[in-house]
Amino acid sequence: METTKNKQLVAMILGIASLVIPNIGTTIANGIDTTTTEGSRTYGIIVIIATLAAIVVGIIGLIKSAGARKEAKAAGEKQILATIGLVTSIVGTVESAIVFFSCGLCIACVACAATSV
Amino acid sequence: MYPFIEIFGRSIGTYGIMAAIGMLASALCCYLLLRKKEVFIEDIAMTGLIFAIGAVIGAHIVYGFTNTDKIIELFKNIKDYNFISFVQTLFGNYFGGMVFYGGLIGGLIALVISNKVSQKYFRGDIMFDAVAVAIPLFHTFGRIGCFLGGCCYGVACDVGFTVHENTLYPALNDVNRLPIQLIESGLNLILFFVLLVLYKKKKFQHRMVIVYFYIYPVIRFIDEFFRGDEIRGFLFGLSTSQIISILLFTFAVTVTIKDLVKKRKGEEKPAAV
Repeated sequence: METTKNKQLVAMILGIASLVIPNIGTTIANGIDTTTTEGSRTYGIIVIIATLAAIVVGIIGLIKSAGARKEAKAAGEKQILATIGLVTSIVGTVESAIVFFSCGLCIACVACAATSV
Repeated sequence: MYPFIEIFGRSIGTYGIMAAIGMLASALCCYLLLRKKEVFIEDIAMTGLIFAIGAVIGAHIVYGFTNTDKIIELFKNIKDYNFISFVQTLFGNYFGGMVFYGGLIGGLIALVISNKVSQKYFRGDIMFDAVAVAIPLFHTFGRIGCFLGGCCYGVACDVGFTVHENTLYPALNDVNRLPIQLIESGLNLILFFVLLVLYKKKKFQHRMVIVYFYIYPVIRFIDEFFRGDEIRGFLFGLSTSQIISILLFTFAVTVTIKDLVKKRKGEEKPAAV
């Protein structure tokens, strides 16, 4: 009986979610007309929220998967799901952090600056 | 300058990409150095996370310090702002940027706190030295990112490169400049190999961060004179980074003197910084 399976599963789901969330956000944002100031601001806000959510989910996933891997190792169980969770969490968090710091903030700042002019 | 590149139809900042490559490279370096010491991938990942959280906070706070006068001015004229514009100006303009030294100090403080609170993932006694070795490796890639991003640049001179299409600072275009970021990147790579050799030879055990604090501040202090950025003056004509360099070097000297005094008294060395 694998006692850490549920924890590993949760970690994996969080990791995959951190990969998927920003893509959903971008897909929704791509449907917005960015030629208007209002549209570009909405685009920026969606990208920021999506990437920020992915960063938070990714960090939680990373913590959960690290804990699950340790527990599984101590219990002598397989750590496949937790490892998938760990890798996807790292990739998801790093990817979202790059987009957040290099794209999301720029879009929002430009839109805000445009509205204030 | 290539501040953005297109990946899968998305425009991504080159600085962010280089920083991510640097993070992964330094994490891999830590893992390779520590794998024989029962340190696992999850420990490295959590250490990276703890360091990154501290680094992001520290980098923004120190950036805020460079804008102290503007922040004071902002609070003096607080009546002229509504809540949103105040928050936007404070956090967007004055705390929005990041400073490497702030990130370094913030990250190290976060690791020290983590080591004191719980040693579940980060164990200072065996991991601090490896982290110190990995820092210049991250910085090597980070500085290439700075160069590509075009936010930092060198002084105008006969040798070097000419900037074209710098959208952040258009006035800099078509001026020949010293590639100071690339020079610093190269020096960081050399520093990485120096620390790596010392680590492998088991020299300066538990004091690798102090060795780093001896060498890097000297590089940075000199480097700052060749940076052409306008807003770097802070105190007595020195930039914020130069002042921090002096403080870190002084800290390293103080720790060394303390160690020597303890050694003379025949006391045992502390386990971690």
